[in-house]
Amino acid sequence: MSTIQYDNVGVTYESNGQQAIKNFNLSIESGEIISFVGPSGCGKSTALNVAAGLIQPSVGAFKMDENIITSPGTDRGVVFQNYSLFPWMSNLENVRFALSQKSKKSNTELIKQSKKLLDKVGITGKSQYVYPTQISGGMQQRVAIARMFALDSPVFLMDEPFAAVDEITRKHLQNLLLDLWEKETSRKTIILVTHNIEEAIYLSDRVVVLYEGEIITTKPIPFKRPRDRQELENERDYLTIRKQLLQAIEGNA
Amino acid sequence: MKSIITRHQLLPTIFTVIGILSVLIFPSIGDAVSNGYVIGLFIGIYILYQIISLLFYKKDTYRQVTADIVSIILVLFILWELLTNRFGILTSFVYPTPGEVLLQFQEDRAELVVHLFSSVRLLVSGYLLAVCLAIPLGMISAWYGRLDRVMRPISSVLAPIPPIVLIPYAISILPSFAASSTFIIFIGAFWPIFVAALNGVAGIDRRYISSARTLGVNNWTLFRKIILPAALPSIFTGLTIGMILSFILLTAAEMIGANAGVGYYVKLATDFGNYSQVVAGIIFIGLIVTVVMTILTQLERYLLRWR
Ligand SMILES: Nc1ncnc2c1ncn2[C@@H]1O[C@H](COP(=O)(O)OP(=O)(O)OP(=O)(O)O)[C@@H](O)[C@H]1O
Ligand SMILES: [Mg+2]
Repeated sequence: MSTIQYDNVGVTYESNGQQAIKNFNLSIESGEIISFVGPSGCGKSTALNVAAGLIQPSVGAFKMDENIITSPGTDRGVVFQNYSLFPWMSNLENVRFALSQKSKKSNTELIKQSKKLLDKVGITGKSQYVYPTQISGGMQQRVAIARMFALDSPVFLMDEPFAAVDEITRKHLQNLLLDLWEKETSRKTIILVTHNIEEAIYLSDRVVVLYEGEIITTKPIPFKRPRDRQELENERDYLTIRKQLLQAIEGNA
Repeated sequence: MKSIITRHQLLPTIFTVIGILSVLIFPSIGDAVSNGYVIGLFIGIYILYQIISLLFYKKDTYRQVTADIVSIILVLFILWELLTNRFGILTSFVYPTPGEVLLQFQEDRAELVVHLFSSVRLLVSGYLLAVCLAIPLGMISAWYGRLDRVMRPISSVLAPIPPIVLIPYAISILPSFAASSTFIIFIGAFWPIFVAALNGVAGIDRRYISSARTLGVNNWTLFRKIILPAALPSIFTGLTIGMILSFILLTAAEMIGANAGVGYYVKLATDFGNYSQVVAGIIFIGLIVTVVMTILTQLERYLLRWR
């Protein structure tokens, strides 16, 4: 399955000599949900892009199931921080195109499946047929999420996927992700970059706090699943964990 | 009651009427062409305008633009007619009247069609050859860094050489005029399209390629579905510049060494001092260019409708 390992990874951007992450050591079990949190510019996206195979580590190695990863692959679905839908394809076509890369099904079948996925993330009716530039940023992000679901890979890498959507949609999309994750017998491994502490706690098994390119805290979230938002907030440990995480982020910021 | 003439149609209608009235009111100086011809010209333009306007029946701004442009054309024709044929301000034989030019069109129509076909054949073969080679070569050069670094300096030296200077030489070294003008057009169109394709691919947002890679697309699909559409906006600017250059080179080559084609028609008329033929030829070339460029922009709008 999909165990992930950052083995002493460091990334220095050649263009400006910026050391974006360093001494990055992290093992993620198959089926775990991990969140990266931290102030802007602390290296969250860089760490995620290493996992996506889009950035090569300058030192160390990124491994999946003991294999060193240096390029993107269908085993990892990605939602980028800045939506990366193809603007020349309609929203529906963006999802259908992703499905068609691995499925041998008939085109009508693929379109049906794509529509279903888009319906799930709340992109319905006419919005499915227009081009990405014709819908809002938050809606584009939802199409990108639908496209990642279409790929159905064992690892999901998501860079602030719910940042541009309203509170209600955000909760809906979070639940959608958890549903998908909980239903499967071989659970997906998920790395999620977020600015939202509550979201990180609600979704994750562990929250990793980054500061200036380094992991400063890794906080296990002990609450049993399936979780309920209301109950969670009444848990005795919830506030403690939240406070500790906030302190970890802010105390260094 | 709804008015028959819509807001857009007001100006063209007024100018058509003014045109017709000016023909009826002011007496003609020469006697070569009857008033009927000139009136027919104005009515012809008006009918053509109505047809074009119908094509744009949904798009208000286009209808307005069309009306404005037609109005300007009508004003120019009215001034031309008044200055040459009514007030006698421009009377020399180098200033043919609109009626004379129209008559010339009618007399030469069979000949013009022959010239048109000759020109279009050369234009299309040279241009298409350039398109078929420049787009793939430009894209391949951009994709392979080593080739890119070689082709950029080469193209920046060769591309600015005005292909017009090659015309006489090409005509003397190549076996036929068709071969040499096809070659000249090819050279002229090749570089702008090549550079546009090169820059188009080189400038693709890396995230599109990355996204495609995470979807697991193979190289052929990556090229067809991602790289080509992403580079297409840039390619189209090259196609447009290439087409304009092709046309300039074609007519120039025809004026230098051909025995057919629209450029040759104008050159021959100039040599014989037949100025109504010269003006007819120039207007004819203008019409051809307009049609060709319209086809190209419509294609662009369709293919880049996602923008
Ligand atoms: N392509 C790049 N070239 C050069 N420097 C970069 C590049 N991308 C990021 N950096 C730098 O690396 C550091 C980490 O950036 P990164 O994008 O990983 O941060 P982040 O935690 O995702 O921030 P945010 O929360 O704002 O998205 C920053 O200092 C940034 O300026
Ligand atoms: Mg980021």
